[in-house]
Amino acid sequence: MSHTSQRRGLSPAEPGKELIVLAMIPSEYQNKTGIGSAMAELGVMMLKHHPENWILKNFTTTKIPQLGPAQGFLEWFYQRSPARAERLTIRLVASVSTVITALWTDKEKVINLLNELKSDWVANNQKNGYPISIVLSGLFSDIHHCCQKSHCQEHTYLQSLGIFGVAQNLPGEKELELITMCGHGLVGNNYVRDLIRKVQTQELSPKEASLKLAEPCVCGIVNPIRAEEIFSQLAKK
Amino acid sequence: MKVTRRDFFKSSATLTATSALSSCLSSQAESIPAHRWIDQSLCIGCGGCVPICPMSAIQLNEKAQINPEECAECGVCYRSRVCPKDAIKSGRLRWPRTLREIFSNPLSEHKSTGVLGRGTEGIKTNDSANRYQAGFIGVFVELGRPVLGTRFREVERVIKKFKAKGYSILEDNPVAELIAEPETGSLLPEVLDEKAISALLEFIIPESAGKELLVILQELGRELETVFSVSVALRALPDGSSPFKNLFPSGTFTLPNGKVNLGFAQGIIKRKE
Repeated sequence: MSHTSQRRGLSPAEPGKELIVLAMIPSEYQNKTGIGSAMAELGVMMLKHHPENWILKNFTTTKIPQLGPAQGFLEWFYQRSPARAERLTIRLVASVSTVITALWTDKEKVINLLNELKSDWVANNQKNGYPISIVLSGLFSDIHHCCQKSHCQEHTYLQSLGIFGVAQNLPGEKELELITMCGHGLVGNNYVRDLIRKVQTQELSPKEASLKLAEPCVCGIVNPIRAEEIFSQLAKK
Repeated sequence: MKVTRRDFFKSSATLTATSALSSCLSSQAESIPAHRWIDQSLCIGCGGCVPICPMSAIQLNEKAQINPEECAECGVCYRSRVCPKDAIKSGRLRWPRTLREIFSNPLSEHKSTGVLGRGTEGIKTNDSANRYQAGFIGVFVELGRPVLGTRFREVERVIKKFKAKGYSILEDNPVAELIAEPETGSLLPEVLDEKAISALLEFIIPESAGKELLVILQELGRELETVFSVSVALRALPDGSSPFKNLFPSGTFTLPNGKVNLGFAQGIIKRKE
């Protein structure tokens, strides 16, 4: 899963527009007693710092095989309180998954989350033998700033070498900025073009289009704020 | 009995097409197509499903239909709830078509890696796993991404190219189990025409091979019929900075953004450095 290293459109000239926090357990530790609770605790902490998007946020009524019987409860809960069900999803998913993700558009919130994690959560993981890794994705300058402010240090980098092959068959750069927001390739070119057309004909506002863009992405790493800006720019063309 | 990853891939027709399972139990099981499909008796021809397909595999005439050749079984159309009549149905996938779902649907877990999605844990657990160590470059070649998708025929060409240069795909990569001839990198012949949104290949090369890597990628870029995105995994220098500038010629393309493991799980698992 190398996908967030290929996001287009971020620039050091505009810092702080996007940071993704990803937590992962090595698969052989997935069933270690207590590790699911540590992940769920992390999910709760992530939500406390108000991310703009998070894993499976838009999938509260979709069958998620990993959830098992909790799926039924989630669907029932969604009928009563959709917003709270969205937040419940990350807790349920975190407890059974090897990976959780959330996206912020405010560096300070990420720094606060990292500092909170470092105060107790990381030490508890060390004590209990829970190897839960934390990865940041965004501008390297933003990540370095977060590291400095939370007294941690970069361990391993994943950096893009770009796109090769029949790149002449790809859409334009602005469209790619939207398409690469979903790293699993679930946001296609036709979908983006359809949303741009609907914004241009005022069938959708840029904000509505940005929320639509986020819907296919199960990881919850589409940035609706940056997408809204791009749709606004494209609509003027 | 040892169950290999290839066994899993071949048996996953019943394991991964979960929503098809209950249908398989019905008396109509035999009539269920072997791919995702749109029930023509329910479709009202509104066309709402056409743009959502990342592989442009849905066409609208009077009613919408999925072209099984182009469908990567990613499930986006089904999950999107875009169809007002619930006419989009899961197929009864059989080997080797099951590969499409395994490599394209991120909610389908690779039993070979235990990881959701099409890759391995990559740098994400490197602070505990020490998969990418100082002195080496981890190379991620993701075929088909962005936008175009890939056939496994293209995947084979990449594996063969790296193999000819002396670099083998990492053994725990999901694609590795599809290799029929380890000495050449040839894949099982029946998988070559299968299509996925993307397939991620991983190699580890010495840090002295940065320039050679760029040459390999340029050659592949001229040979392949799809696109591929490339990333490199690099252990940070002792001060936390990236060694990228030391390993690749100045002017080498890279982005100002990427992923960084923060080292929070360092030392929890006792593994060799």
